[in-house]
Amino acid sequence: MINWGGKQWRPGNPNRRQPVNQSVSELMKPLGEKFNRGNVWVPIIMDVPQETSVSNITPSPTPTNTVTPTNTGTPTSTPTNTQTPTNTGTPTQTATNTPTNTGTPTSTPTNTQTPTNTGTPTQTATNTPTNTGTPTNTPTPSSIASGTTQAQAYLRAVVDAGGTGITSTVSAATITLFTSLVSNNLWDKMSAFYPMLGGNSAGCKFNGKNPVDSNAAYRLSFTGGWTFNSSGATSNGTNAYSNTFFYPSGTTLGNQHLSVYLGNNNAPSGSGKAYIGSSDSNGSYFVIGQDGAPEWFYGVSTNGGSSPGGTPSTQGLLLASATGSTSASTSIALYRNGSIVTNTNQNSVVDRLSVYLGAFNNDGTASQFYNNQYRFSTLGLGLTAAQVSTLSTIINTFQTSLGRNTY
Amino acid sequence: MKVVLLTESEKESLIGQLIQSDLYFNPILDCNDNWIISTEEVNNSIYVEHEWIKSIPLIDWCPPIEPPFPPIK
Repeated sequence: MINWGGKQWRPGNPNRRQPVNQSVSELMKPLGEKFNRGNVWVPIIMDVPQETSVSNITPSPTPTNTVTPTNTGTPTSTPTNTQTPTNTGTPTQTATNTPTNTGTPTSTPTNTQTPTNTGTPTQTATNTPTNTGTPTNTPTPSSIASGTTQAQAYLRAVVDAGGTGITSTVSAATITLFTSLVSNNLWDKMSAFYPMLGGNSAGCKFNGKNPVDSNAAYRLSFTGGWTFNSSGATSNGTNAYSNTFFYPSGTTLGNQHLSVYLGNNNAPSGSGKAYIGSSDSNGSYFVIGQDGAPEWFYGVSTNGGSSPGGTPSTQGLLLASATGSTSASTSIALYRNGSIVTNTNQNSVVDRLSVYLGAFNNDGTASQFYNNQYRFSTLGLGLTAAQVSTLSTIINTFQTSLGRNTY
Repeated sequence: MKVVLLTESEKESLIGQLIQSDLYFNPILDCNDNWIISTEEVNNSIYVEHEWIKSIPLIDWCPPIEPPFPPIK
């Protein structure tokens, strides 16, 4: 029999009334023992069934819903994407899927949702190597094989800059031009070519090979008395010229060419005229023009060459090309409309000045201004006679499609 | 052929200026050391700040003495 200080019930204030015989089991008994002796645990035990309802919560489907938050974890992986070299959005997505699956099973331990997030960082590592595979995208250049994409990029540049007259006919002719250059292995021979489309300076300025508005892309910079229409750009022969920013010294001596497709026959006597070119103080010429006689004058990093053939016929495609060794007497040739006009030997000094259209860059100053309509021009690597013939046909076909051909 | 005669200060004010998009003025000297621009530049000019060039008197074009071509180095 327990003695609560002489009482038969546990006192309300144990500090003042200490039970005489205390035992652990007695101390654990609830105060209710006083009123419900021997049955104080019943209500507690009877509460157990109520806890059964708790077991209903156990069907942690709810936590399963919490899996949704796992999605919240996904955005966490998004920053991981930011780390990704912007190029490969696709591979990054693949990686994101993988971790999501991993997260699902982890959600089972309902409580342990947090750890699930911990798994996310693991994804990061997985992403990184995936990016490494990105270079595989590099093969994109395969589109270069056709020339269609490049033609569309050029046309887009012309239109975006304010060029006009880009009809379906012009577009089709341009695509044919580009694809023909590619299929005939002439694309890689070009450093720059100017189709002269758009009917204004903003459109005509673009280099078809690299239609970017920058000097480095050999975009034309027009100066002085030029006029423009759907047939091309016309220089006034007084003060008009255009800088191509193409430096012959950027190519190899003995492997260079330049050309212009002119709309009119115009070879005035009196003083010399330069249709295209530059002249370096080192004695080198990179030019197609005429002297005052007038007779042809041309050079491809040479000391020049004159043809005694009389008055030049300037209408059509005039092209000078250097191929072969410096000692070959016929290593430099002048062509008109795909056929050779004359040839000369080659100097060993490469021209270091940028090439002008409508005049020539005379050691830094535009001079020998020339009046004609420029309908096309090219600059680049040396071409064989066969390649010149092919290029002539391709360019003239383009001009014919636009109704501005001369042969 | 006619060209547009410029004073020294007018020439200076046009150097590096756009006639229209992607086309620049190019004042040059004629045979009498007069600064001139071409009528094409005047006709193509679209900017208000250059309206004054359209009221400048024209003179006959006298080409400068061109250096020999091919140039003599």
